[in-house]
Amino acid sequence: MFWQQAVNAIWLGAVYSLFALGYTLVFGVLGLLNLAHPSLFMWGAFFGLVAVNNLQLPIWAALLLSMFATGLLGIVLERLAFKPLRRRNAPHLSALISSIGASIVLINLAQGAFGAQVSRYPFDTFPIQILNIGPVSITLLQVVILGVSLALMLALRWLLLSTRQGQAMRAVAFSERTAARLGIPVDRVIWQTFFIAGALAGAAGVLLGLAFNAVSPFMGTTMSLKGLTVMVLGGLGNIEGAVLGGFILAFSEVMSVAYLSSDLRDAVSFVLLFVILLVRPNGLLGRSSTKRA
Amino acid sequence: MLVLDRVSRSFGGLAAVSDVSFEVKAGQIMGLIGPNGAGKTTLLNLISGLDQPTRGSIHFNGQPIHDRPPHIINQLGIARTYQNIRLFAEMSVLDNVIVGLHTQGHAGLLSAVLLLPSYRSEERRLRALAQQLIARLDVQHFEQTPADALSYGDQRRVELARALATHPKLLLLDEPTAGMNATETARLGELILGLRAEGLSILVIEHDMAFIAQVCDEVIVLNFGQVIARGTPDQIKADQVVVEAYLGAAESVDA
Amino acid sequence: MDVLSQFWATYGSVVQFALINMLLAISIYFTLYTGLLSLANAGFMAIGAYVSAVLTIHAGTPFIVNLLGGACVAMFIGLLLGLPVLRLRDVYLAIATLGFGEIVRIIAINFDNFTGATLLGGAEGLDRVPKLTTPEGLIVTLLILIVLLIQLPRSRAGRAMAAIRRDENVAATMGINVFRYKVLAFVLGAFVAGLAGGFSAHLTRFVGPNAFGFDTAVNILAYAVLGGTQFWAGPLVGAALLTILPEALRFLNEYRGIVNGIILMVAIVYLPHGLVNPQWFQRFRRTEAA
Repeated sequence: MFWQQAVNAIWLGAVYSLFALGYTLVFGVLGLLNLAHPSLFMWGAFFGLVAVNNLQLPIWAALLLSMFATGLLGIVLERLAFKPLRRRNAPHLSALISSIGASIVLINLAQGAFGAQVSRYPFDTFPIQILNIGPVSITLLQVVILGVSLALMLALRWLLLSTRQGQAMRAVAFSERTAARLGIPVDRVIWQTFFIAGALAGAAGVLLGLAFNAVSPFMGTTMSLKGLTVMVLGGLGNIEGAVLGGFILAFSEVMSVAYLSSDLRDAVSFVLLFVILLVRPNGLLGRSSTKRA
Repeated sequence: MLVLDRVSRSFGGLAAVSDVSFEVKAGQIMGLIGPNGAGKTTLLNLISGLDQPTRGSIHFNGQPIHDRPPHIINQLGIARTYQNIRLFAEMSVLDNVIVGLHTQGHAGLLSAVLLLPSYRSEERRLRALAQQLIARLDVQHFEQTPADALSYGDQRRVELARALATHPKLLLLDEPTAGMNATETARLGELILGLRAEGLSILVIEHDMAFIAQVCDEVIVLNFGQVIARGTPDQIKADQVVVEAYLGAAESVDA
Repeated sequence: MDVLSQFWATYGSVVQFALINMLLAISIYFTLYTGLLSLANAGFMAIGAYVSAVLTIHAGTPFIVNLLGGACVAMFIGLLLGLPVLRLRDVYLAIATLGFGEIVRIIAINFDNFTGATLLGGAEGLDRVPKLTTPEGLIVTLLILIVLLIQLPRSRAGRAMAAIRRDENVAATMGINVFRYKVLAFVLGAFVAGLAGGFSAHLTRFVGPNAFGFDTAVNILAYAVLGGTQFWAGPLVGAALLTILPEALRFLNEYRGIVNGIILMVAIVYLPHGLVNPQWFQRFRRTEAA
């Protein structure tokens, strides 16, 4: 029983991590919390659904298309909601509020376009195949989800550590002013960051939508607090932390449903969030002390 | 009055301040000089409570203050100004100084809402005190002007008025003459000497050597977070170690 | 007189909702005035609503007692929450307060199940709460709070809060106990939000767990942001506009949500100090004198 739950936690954790990666990437590079990120995730799920239902694309093509489209949406979001504030050096609070407004617009647009009900993929989207490895069973879909998530996480890591693009992003994350003085096109790096974050969110949306075969305009709202918990667990802005946090949250959720009660599943993320905020707000992989001056 | 004993502050592997010990006696004006990045402002942050030393202790009038929060340290009698001028933007000069008088009043929110006579008389008293301070620092023409609209030199004087409003026994000044011309600098020097005559002790960070010579009894020289020399202004001006420290940092010294 | 009663018959509840939203806007004004971004007020509103409704239904005490009781419980929980959470840096505080709202919702849904009582009504909530809210009661409460708002910047505590908002480290070095004033602002906000919850429960005659979630928290923030937090009338104007506007724009139907979101974005980008901007007054006074 335990190992089955552990296996469930692993692929779920991978998706949570994927979702949180884009979220924490934007915080790391820009220092701001983009509360519209879960809405990008939701739109990504819809892009995937539309690609399969209306464009009759195979699921892998739908995934790529959704990533690209959500990335573009991320850029639009940045240009409309964040760039004007950055230009006049507004405090971070304003960006937070602007992202909330953008999120409301995105959710209502989705409601208008797709209706408020839960939409589903057609049955033949992905072959239903169950693999039995010893005492545990896992579906092919879950394996693929795990694989794709891990692949994307590794791709992000490669991007950040081994490319000039990643170097530029890390420079901007360290200090926008210094990066600008070094000749780095900060504005370009910023919208590129949003593209990547959007693409990752879109991928997470498609994968999660497939996993539970449920896509709705409100799926972002349920993921919203989980995303925050994952980020804070690992340390805001910390990429490895987002991965660690994702698995910790998934594991805690799955175990609490299995051994306690399913009503408490949503409460798990709040408890984790509060505990980490009170004990170690910088996250498990963040700095252990905060300077005051 | 103020005693630093082997104070150190490291950030990760970098030691911003290392093994610094000195004493500011009551009624003394102590200068703190050194090239940029020597750790002078860090030291002021440690004394005023905005930061905590990783090692060592700081005592004020016999009481340890290195582990106390900044508002308690101020209530014990230490006030400061800032290198980058941190006035409350958009608030008028008068309001900035009245905030400084926070510890000199005690009317609660309820008495303010009920417009009790105790509240009203306290407001009048604080307002008068603030106006006195503003007049003393010669910025009374700007009483209602938003603080960030003033010239650099005037802003520094407002910050000083605000610090004095907290009724300190020890004043920490971080480059108070930056942005001032020679006349203003000399006038500030006179003011500082006047404050000492009233019983204040002062620790001042400065780059202007003429100002240091004008006001300071003793000077501590910092480089790379460590004390490299101490003595009277004349003594340290002639000190080879000090001269090399400044030349080495390619820092031009206003003399 | 006939026109007036006609108006009231049609728009009476909108006006009262606007008044309640003004209370909510005031509740978040205290925290924003002190530089805190707290999204917990929807949660405090819920607490005030539930406690006052339960008291009315089960204890039979007079309305004002129940109303104040709900607000006091909200204030007390605000204290319990604030003490650990107000030490956090801005974005962490926002996240923690977001989480709080959700926790209140989950407790409201599961309380009866866990304790075996029939107090909070579970997921369906409580209905048939007697309609005890009057426009007079709302207006009197608002007037009292307006006096508080006007006097706040003229008081020692209010000046300390304004200083904390602009530069809390500098404020601390001037002898201001920053934490204490943050707690004061937070707890004041919780009390007023609790009042608003009590009034709301006894107006709509219903208290349910889903009325006080993320959307409500965001709306409250929008009232203050749109109206502006530099001047006491700001949150009132913002609340009034954002309550009346959707009613006036009712013809937009499903696009109302989009308009709300757009208003929020446009306001924060182009009206950084909100609609009620004291600097406009100064300019007006200067042109008058000229």
